[in-house]
Amino acid sequence: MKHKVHLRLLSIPPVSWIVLVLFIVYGFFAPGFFSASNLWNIGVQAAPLLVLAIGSTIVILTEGIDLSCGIVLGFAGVGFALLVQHGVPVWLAMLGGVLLGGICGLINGVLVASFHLPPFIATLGMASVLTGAGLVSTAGTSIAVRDSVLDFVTNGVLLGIKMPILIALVILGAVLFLMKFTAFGRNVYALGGNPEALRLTGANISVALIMAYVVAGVLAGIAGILVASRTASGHIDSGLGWDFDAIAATIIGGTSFEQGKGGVGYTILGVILIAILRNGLNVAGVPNMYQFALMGTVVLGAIIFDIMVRRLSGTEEGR
Amino acid sequence: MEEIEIKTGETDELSLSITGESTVNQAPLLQARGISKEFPGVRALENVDFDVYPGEVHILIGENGAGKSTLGKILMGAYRHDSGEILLEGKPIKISRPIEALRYGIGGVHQEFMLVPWLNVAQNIFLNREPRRWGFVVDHQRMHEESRRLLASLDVHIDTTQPLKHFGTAIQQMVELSKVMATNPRVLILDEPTAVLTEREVECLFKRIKEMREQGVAIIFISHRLQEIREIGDRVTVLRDGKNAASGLMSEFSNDDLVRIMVGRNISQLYPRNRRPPGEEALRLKGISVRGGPKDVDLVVHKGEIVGICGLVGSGRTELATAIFGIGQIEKGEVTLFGSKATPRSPAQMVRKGVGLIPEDRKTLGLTMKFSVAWNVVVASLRLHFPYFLVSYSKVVRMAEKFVKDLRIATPSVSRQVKFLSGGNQQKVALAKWLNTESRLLIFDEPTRGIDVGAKVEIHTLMDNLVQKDIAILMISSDLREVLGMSDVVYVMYQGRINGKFSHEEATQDKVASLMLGVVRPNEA
Repeated sequence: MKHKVHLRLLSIPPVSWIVLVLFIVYGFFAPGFFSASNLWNIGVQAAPLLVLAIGSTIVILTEGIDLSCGIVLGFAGVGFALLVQHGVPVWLAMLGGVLLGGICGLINGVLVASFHLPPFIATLGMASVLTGAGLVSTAGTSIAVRDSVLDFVTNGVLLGIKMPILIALVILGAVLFLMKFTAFGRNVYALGGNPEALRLTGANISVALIMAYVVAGVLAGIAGILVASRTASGHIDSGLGWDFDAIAATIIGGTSFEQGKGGVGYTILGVILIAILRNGLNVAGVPNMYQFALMGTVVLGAIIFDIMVRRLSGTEEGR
Repeated sequence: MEEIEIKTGETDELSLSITGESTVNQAPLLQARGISKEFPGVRALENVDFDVYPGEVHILIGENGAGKSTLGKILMGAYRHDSGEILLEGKPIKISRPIEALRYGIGGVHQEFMLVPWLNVAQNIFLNREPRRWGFVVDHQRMHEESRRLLASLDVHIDTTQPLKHFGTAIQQMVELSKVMATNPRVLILDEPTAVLTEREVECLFKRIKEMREQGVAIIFISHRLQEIREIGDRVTVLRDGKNAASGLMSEFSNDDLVRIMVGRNISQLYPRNRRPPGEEALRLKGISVRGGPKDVDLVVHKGEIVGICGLVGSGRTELATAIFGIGQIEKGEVTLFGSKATPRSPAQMVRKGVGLIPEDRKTLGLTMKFSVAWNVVVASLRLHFPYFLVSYSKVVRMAEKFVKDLRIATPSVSRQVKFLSGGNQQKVALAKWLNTESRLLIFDEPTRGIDVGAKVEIHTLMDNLVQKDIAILMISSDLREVLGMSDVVYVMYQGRINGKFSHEEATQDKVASLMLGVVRPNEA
């Protein structure tokens, strides 16, 4: 009986414990962390990362990886800002930015599925191309955007929830639905688990794989619009380093690189962990330059902790 | 044995009496004519003819590498054939992709599992064929109901919401079968469906197959287990080296005939042993207990001797073998290796001490499937042959080529990836790997599981040659005949303990089997 309770405790994703500990630690060391405004703030900051990380999770489930998602995020923001600058209505420009993300995803998908490039090479190359394109089209500057719509997307409140958080949660819900109830989700899992099995059922696995990257691209595009709205500008570097956060959130959430194991649901825990870390460091006044190293260390530590707990609890095979 | 021709008249009709019970009077449902298929460096099929009628079970047998799985895969659309034609009800059809075969009602189970480990049981059964609501939303409830129904027809009752990974290979095989049954195939192709099933499960499967035969399904059954094909087969076709070797009613062939046709030569001696007096002690276990495994095991292996351990799956035999090899935790007891005390801590240490392990599962543990033959041969002995850090590729190739020649490994070249070799040849590569380390004690875990008769004899001959060279062999096997035929000393394991020990002369099938099954206590045997 005691053993059973023990097992149930262990079946809670280990990362939840870290999140809990962080809350407590920050509560002590960063006064103001628990204020309502700061908690909302964390949510708003976490929203674009959640959207991005969902895309990352989908790609990783197919046994791939998207190293370009951070740059795609920035690129979509730049595209959006440039469209607005050229007089395109803001709503349409947002759609344009998202579409741009989708196109980047499409190219990634074609490189991986049709040209059989290893995903990390394909997406790394894509990231380089997009960085160049972004720098050229903006001369490396920030493109400012001013519009009341942006304010609504960033600060608006609907149903008592701040817009960025609401958007992220709606997207999370939609993707969870896609994963559980549609061919898309089943394809994603099967591609990671045993693509040959999927092929032999008559499915077109190239198209399925391309679709996974397209969805990831679209999500990166949406994340890009969220970020651009918050900063009221488009800058190619605005997603610099976010790829790492998105991938880390996925792994911390329990999605593994092997055999299509995991899911989008737990990625939110990884996102919360990273968002709290960032926010706590800011509230505690740790200078930005130290934050990179600290974040990297803590995220790696969290992943190691996670793997060790899983191994101990026997939910993970191997030694 | 003369080849039996099935005459097909101008109308493509023929009357064929099957097993004296049912009579079939139709054209073949599926017919393959002059099928050839070449893989890089290997001619897998050459001008092969094959047909199957509705309401019959047509057995396709042959040694590993004879091309039977390749033919099955071509008919299922997993491979494309280079030449020849496929006819459905007499009309030529094109099958170049799995979806096309499925549209024609041809479905099957591949030898390798085609399952997605982290999807649940029902999702696997209905992969890409999920029942839908409103055209796109998966109807999970119906999917689980249907899955339970399909599995129940095979007498399997499990929670279909669990990830498939949580189940053993037998259940996974049943899921595979349910998956194909869900498509209601007109032609059912089963490639070695019983390899991982227990006797009771095989019974359920055969019952189901017979039902489907009654319903007029044309069934192609690929196997090399002679006993079972006799129970279920109506007709048989033997392939050898990618060509038709014989074809006819099952009743026209004796098992000996079939083996002879498959192998293409007489098996003069099934278990070739030249017994000799044992040499010095190579391995002595005294009171060994392994964590979560065997208890209080005493065992001795001499040089130039084959010691067989037989026991059921789960009796602790594999755990014992891996513990000697440094995997797993020895809790108490003493290991003496070549006269000196040894505490197995890691495989690396045991390899240095001259121990080699040829594991049960060569695909994941024994070999690196994506590596070439050459690299697999040297991978365990790089430090031995290349002590100065740099590896000479030409020397690697020379070593590998020598083994290919000595062990008669059928491969077009040493640079071929081992995943393309047949099971028997893979096992030879696994063996070559340890011979190359100059191991003096070899542990074989199920040395001939899943490989065909001809290759079995070859592996056994190689084992005999090794003991002639003073190598000590510890062999684990659940094949009783193999243990009795090959071993000089037989140990029986039951529930983690050594339950009996026999010399070659004392050991009889009855004595060993009853101890192995725990029917009698050691002192009664």
